Formats: sequence, structure tokens, C-alpha cells
Amino acid sequence: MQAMPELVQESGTAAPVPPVLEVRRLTKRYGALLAVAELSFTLSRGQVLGMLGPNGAGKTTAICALLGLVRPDAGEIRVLGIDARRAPRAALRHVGAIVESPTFYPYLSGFENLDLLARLRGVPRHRIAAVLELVGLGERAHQRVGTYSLGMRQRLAIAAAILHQPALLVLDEPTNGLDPQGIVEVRELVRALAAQGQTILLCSHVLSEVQEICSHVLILSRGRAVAMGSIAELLTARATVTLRTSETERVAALCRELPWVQVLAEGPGLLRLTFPPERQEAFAQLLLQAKIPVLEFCREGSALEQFFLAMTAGSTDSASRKDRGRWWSWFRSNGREVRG
Amino acid sequence: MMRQAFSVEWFKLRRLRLFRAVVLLGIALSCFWVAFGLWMARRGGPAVREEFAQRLTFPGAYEQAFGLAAAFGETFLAIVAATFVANEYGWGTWRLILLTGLPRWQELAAKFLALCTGAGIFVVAVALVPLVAAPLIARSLGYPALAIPRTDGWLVAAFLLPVRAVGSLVAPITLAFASTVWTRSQSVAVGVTVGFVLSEGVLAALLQGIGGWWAKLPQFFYLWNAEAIARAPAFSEAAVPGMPPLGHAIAVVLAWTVTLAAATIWWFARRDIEVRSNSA
Repeated sequence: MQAMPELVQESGTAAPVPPVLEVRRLTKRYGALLAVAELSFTLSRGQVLGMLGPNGAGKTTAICALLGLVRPDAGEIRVLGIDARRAPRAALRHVGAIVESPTFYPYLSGFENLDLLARLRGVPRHRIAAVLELVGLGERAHQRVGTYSLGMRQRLAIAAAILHQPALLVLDEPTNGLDPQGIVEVRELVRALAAQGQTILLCSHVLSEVQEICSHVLILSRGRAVAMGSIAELLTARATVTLRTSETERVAALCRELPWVQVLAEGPGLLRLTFPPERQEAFAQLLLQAKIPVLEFCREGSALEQFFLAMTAGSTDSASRKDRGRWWSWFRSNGREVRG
Repeated sequence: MMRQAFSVEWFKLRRLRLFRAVVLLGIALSCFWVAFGLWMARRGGPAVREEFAQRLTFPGAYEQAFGLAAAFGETFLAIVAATFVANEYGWGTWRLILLTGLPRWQELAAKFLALCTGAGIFVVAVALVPLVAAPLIARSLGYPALAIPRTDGWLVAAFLLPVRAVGSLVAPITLAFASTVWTRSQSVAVGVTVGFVLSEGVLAALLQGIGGWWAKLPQFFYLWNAEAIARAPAFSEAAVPGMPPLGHAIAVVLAWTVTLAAATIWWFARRDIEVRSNSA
């Protein structure tokens, strides 16, 4: 665990306000596979938390457990202080969610789909038109969802999630599968909601999106939280450097002896390393003492992508290996940006 | 909450094209039967003419109408039930509904009640054709337009006949419904239900032919007893040969239905809802 600051802000002398979401030691197993392991975090009002992790890290399982779709093996989930496992109905009244791809009845119109939800949630009908206008579907409201594009369905999913004005909005991959235009539309919608003070738990593979929208981040790897805190704090907690040398094997061997250094990528004559920024001078000294010729020693700019890769470097998941491969390509082509 | 859940499920069912198509198909088959019956009542031999005339005019038309509805509904409504549940898995819409906080047992119960309501609509729609045609056919064949059965309590029996027709359809609906929840597959559920519909009667006849304690086994068959509920005569005490008595059939169907429904609710409440779907 790299960082675990408390996300709840002190509310002064007034009566303690329960956090919007409180997760304690959440655990879920699928047979021998530990999908989520003792996950704990807290989300207070107005915060936008990005949940990150490579494929198979347990993000969607954790979200499904929060929403009562998956039965956790252990742990506690509280929404505004309400125990979501004991009183799911009362807890889910305060939650709106999109989980993976948007799901609707294709033979019903967008309005009718929302009308079903409004009836079940006890929301007045006039609110349906209001949210459809908000997401820009006012004109297509009475057409069958089967005729909608994926972007329109995603916007309808957001409308469904905010229909009952929930205290917590859970968005799992809200831009998944969208074309660039759709991504921009949905991202702007989420950003607007965040700007209005909506508490959001955003799960996304697009790290730049998380960095743009979220104030805090939680990184999962193999079901465990490996980093959590405000993005600004986390990004200054580690430095990533590019080292060009003719003796990469000796440097790699040296790094293996130093627990605070992590090798992100290794190639002929090139290494990408990460370590705490206060250790940079000590590391340079070690290179000098070992008489390792340094052709280039360059600190990279702080980006969430670098931090994410450093945190999930131990993951054996194929997708994360693919990501590292992409990074290596980027590294060799010297600066072409790759989006995850 | 349960009332809203039922209204939502009923809205979804009545907007489902398959359900509408099945009701229309039932009406079309019923029209075809009336036309065929009329042809036989005019062109058949004297005994055949008499038999069809009895079936097409009151009071025989009343029993015939609901018997037809129950017979057609067995397969048709099983397909509708399986599709209605399987769609939720295929489209991934379980989570759309369950995220509202609706308890899972209420969602299943609302869906089941909507299907039973759909069965009622189907029975009435299909039975209406022979019932409306009966006075017209009677007039053309020279029979009295309306004739009252010569049995005591015929009014109660007449009232119970549509209830029995709908009740007999609860069994295939329950079987298809439960099979879909367990297997998450429409085709498996339809296969299982139609397989039972087609094979139970044959198997019952075979076992009765063997005799001994084998002959007692069909007494516990689910769909065969359900069929007995629909086929028991409304206006006479005589039992249909080879079929169980009405009281026994009702008890068996009720026991199976409660067991299957309870097991399905228990199973569904404990399982995880899959997230990935074949999005619509």
C-alpha cells in the first residue's frame, strides 16, 4: 500500500455527517479466485473518486458488490450511514449507477424505460422529461431504444442514474465503446455533474479522463487497493526517470537490491525507473559509486498513467502486460503518447 | 412497492411483441377451429355432424372454448414465459430493475403475476371466438341460440371454467419460468417445458398400461395434472377416462407450483447477477 489517506474531510463542530460511501474490508471470492480482497475506502460528499486497475483487478466486482448485484463474502458497505447489505433498498435509494454497458429494454422508448424506473423509485413523471433534456435526448425520447446509437444509450444510462437525484453516482466505464464524439459528450456531462457537487465514483480505463475529472483516485491490483488518495498528492509521491546507459543489466541488478526502486521497463541501453523523489540524489550517488556510465538521466513529467503503471507493475494480468508493452513502444519512439 | 413492480412487469409484457403475436396466433387458431368445426357440422356424417354441432353451440361451446384456450396456451405461454425471463439476462436488464432496490423476490413475484395476467388475457381472447360464434352457428344449424346446462350449480361451474383454464396454464408458465431462471437460457427452458408437455401424457398412458405401482406414478406428474384441471368436464360429474380427479389434480399442481416457485426465489436471491451482457 503506497498511500492511504482518509478521504473524509473533517466537518467542524457540527454533528458528524455520515460519509456518502463507506466500504470496510470488502471481500469477494469466486471459488479459488480472490476478486476483491479486504477493500476499504470512504467517499465524502462532493468528492469524485476514480477507481483504476488493470483488467481483472476487481473494479467491476467491487462496484457490483456495492450495488447489491454481487453478494460479498465479507465486509461492510454503508451508503449515507445505511448498511447496504442489511437494508439494500434504503441504501440504493441514494445511489444511481451505470455498470459497464448501458442496458435497457430495446422495444420500449427512452421515455418508457425511464418511466419504469420512475415508477419503481417513486419519482414524479415530470422529472423524466427534465433529465432527458439534461442529457440531450429530449427530441428522441419517444423513439425505441433499439434505434439509439451507443452514445445515446450511454446518455440515457446517465439519465437513468440521475433520475432520482442520488447522493452517490457510480459510473463504471461510462465512455466504454463510444466513438470520440460520444466520449467527449459523456465526459462533459460527467464533468458538469461533478462541477455541480455530485459525489461520483468513476471507474475508467482512460487514465487521462480520471486525471481530468477526479479529485481522488483508488488503484486496485489483483483485488487489493495498492494506492489511494488525492491525485495531486499521489503524483508527487514518486518520480519516474529515464536512464540511458550501456550497462543496463548492472543497473537492473542494482535496482533489484533496492526495495524503493521499481524497474518499469527495460530494453537495450534504456531503463525506466520509479522511486520516491527524495531518493533521486541517493540513487545518482549509487550509480556513481558503482561506476555505471550514465549517458542520460532524465526525470519524466508526473502523469497518472506513469503512476498507475508503477502501482500495478506486479500484476500478471495479460492486459496490464499489454499496457507495459505499449509503454515500451512509447518509450522507444521517444515521446508518442499512448492512451490506455 | 409490489404494486409498482407488478405494473412495471405487466407494462413490459403487454408491450412485448412476442406476447401480442401469441395472443393473435391463439385467436387465429381459434377462428380456424370454428371454421373447421362448422364445416364438419355441415359436411360430416350424421354422428360427426351431431358431435360438432354440440361442440359449437351452447352449452358445449363454453367448455370447448376454454379447453381450446388451455390447449393452445400450454406451449405458447411457456415460450412467452421463457422469453420474458431470458430477455432480462440477454439484455442485462436485471440490473436496471434491481438497482432500484426492488427486492429480488418481489421482482420475480411481479414477473410471475404479470405472466399469469397475460395467461388470463390469452384465455379470454382465444375463448371469445367460439363463444361469440356459438349463437350465430346455432342459428344457422337450427339449434337454440342459448341453452342452459341441465345440472345443479351450472352457474358456479361456468364461472370456474375460465379460472380452471388459467390455472392449468400456471403449470407450464411456472416450469418455463423456473427453468429460465436456473439455466439463464430461453432455449433450454422452452425445450424442457415443451418436452414435458408432449411426453407426460404419453408416459402416463404407458405407465397406466404397465399397471401396478407404475400406474400410480402419473398421479404426481405436474403438467399432466394441469391438463386434467382444464379437461375435467364443467357440467357433469363424470371424470375423463385415464385422467386424475379434479381435486387431486389441483392439489398436485399447487404443490409443484409452490415448490418450484420457492426454489426459484431462493436460488435467484442468492446468485450473483452477471454484469456483461449481449447489449441490445
